[in-house]
Amino acid sequence: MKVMVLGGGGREHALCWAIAKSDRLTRLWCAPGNAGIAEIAESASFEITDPDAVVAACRDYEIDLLVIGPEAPLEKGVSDAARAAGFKVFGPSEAAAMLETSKTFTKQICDACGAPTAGYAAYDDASSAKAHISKHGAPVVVKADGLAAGKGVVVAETADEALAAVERIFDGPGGGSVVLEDKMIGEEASFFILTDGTRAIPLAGAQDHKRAFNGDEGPNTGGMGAYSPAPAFTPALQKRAMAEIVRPILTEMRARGMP
Amino acid sequence: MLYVGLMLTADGPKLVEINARFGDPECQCILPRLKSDLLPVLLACAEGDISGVKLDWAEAVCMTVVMAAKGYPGAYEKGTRIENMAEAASTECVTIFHAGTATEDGTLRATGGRVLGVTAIGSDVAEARTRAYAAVERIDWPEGFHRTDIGWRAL
Repeated sequence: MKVMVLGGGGREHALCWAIAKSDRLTRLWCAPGNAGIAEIAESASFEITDPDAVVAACRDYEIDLLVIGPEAPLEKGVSDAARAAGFKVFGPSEAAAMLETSKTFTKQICDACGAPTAGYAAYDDASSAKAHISKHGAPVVVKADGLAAGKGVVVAETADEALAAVERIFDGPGGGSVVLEDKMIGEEASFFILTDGTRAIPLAGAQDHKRAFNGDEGPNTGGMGAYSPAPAFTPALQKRAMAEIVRPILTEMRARGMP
Repeated sequence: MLYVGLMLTADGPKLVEINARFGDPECQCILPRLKSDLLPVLLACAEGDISGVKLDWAEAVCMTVVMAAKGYPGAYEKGTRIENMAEAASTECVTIFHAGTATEDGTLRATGGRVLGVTAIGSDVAEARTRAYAAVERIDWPEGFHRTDIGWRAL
């Protein structure tokens, strides 16, 4: 089987490394890749965010499976274009990727299916958002609605911090609307699930460290380290997360015709 | 593929965010624990039928320590030399995943903010951590930095 992986980060190196071990693999390419990936996969060079270029590359290399790692090609519709051209693609459709591009949309899905999440209010103008903060005070979590590369979230401990965050969001890119959430207390964990839209198989839990410096201090990053499984995310909690959050959300998405 | 961010509250798990992709760096510390062949699993997802998928996992903990260019997530220098990688990679149960790297004149260079994901398997968090940091210490890259407390909550 011939496989093409799109991306050039640690995630794509790990994917290539795991794919390269398969008996069923005949050839593996990665675009753009990096120095580590180049040791286990052939390099391919084309614009990975251009749907036409990706489809052309899939044809040229006669690939059997396209694996998309980063979010940029997904945003540009690469996944849908390759599927439409008849290729098998590991990577969400644009409709499914909607879940991560709109925080308001995620909240609406939770409301509709009863999945537990923080209480919230969504506003598309700054003055209503500020009025909400003045009325309810802090702590409050302020989130820009669109994709902001992990930088659109502020956990405000005071009303002043929250008001300033709202102003920044409406002034900056990705602005346009804001979600104000109750602050939740506890440890954070990531939970990965394989799904084909109907069935769901838990992969693993993990915890990561987003802050740049020791003691979880400093600015937010894409992640400075992680481990799996996470002891705090016990098998019992995993079971609850599947029953109370993952399955209801998948059912709701299916009802809305979003695979 | 679904990736949910959860808050483990006193009332149970609550949803923080949903993503439709593999997270990074989490992907780097999940795949090394997978004993099953990943390729047919990805193919089953792509074909929209995972009913035949069965996953086998190693009873182990895996940890990834990210090495980044000094200054990240702000401005940082590009093109700095990274050396002694082969010795670092020979550390027991360690795999080093690359992010922002390129080879230039036969030397490994840092080309991004997050540059390496030094990943180790162990029987528990402490062992995985000891191995990962042993490899990190062997990497000769003065212009890089890393956190020294990854996994502190789990120890």
